[in-house]
Amino acid sequence: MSPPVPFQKWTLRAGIAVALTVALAVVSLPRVAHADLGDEPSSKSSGGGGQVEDADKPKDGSLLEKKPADAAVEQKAAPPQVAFYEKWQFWAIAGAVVVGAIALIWGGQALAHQLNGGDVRPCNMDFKDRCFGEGR
Amino acid sequence: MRRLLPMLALAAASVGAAGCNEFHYYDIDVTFNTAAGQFAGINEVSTIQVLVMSVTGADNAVLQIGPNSGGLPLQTGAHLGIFEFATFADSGQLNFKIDAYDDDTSANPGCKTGEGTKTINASSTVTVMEMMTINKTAPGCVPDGTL
Repeated sequence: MSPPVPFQKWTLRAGIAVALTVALAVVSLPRVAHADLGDEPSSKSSGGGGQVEDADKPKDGSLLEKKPADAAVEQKAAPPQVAFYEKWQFWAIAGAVVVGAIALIWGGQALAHQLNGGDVRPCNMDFKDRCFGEGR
Repeated sequence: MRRLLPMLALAAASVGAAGCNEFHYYDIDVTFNTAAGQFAGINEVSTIQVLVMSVTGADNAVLQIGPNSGGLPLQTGAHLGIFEFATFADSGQLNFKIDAYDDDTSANPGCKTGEGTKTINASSTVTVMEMMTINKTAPGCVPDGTL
């Protein structure tokens, strides 16, 4: 009877075996997932010169070239553009318009006030409140 | 740009419609007449408690001073000081008139004792300075400055 393997060595071997098994499973799983399940054996498809030529394929190469209609369809199929209100340019312009409008209103009022005579001059202290008339 | 131009034109038109005014100031320096037959010096002038200045003509306004304000009652001399009238009028005539009362509460017509007038042609001058003398016109409620 051979002497029993020490527990530590047995454990080490078992660990290596388990690790190898797990590694194999991990490596092979994606391939299994990507496999063409249900396909016929590849030997058939690559099986020599028995391939039939597509009779519908036009001989004229120009017919296969992209037409303007195709370009329009491609454009339509392009990913949707960002909404205008999500662009910083929109907010920059909107902010400028708001600031401009406020400045225009304020400036207009100030200008109109000046054109209407502006502020009446203050009453001289020596006049002892004997000032009256427009703006007073 | 095509939209901006009409807006600017509209703004300019509205500003133009608002008019273009400029203040003009008429400083009327008022003195009581203490010549012979007029107010009997400070004794009588000091009894005047209320003055009402009115403006008619190219513009209209009224100002009352006193009692105990606007320099009334006068304590010394006969020179009251300047009344300043502000107006946009720059043409026509401005008629200034002062009524003096020796009533101690209000411009009681029965207590009117003096009057002064001045007619000034309004102009584009910013500040026009004029003199006005208040002459005695009636005995008022406090004749001869004695209570």
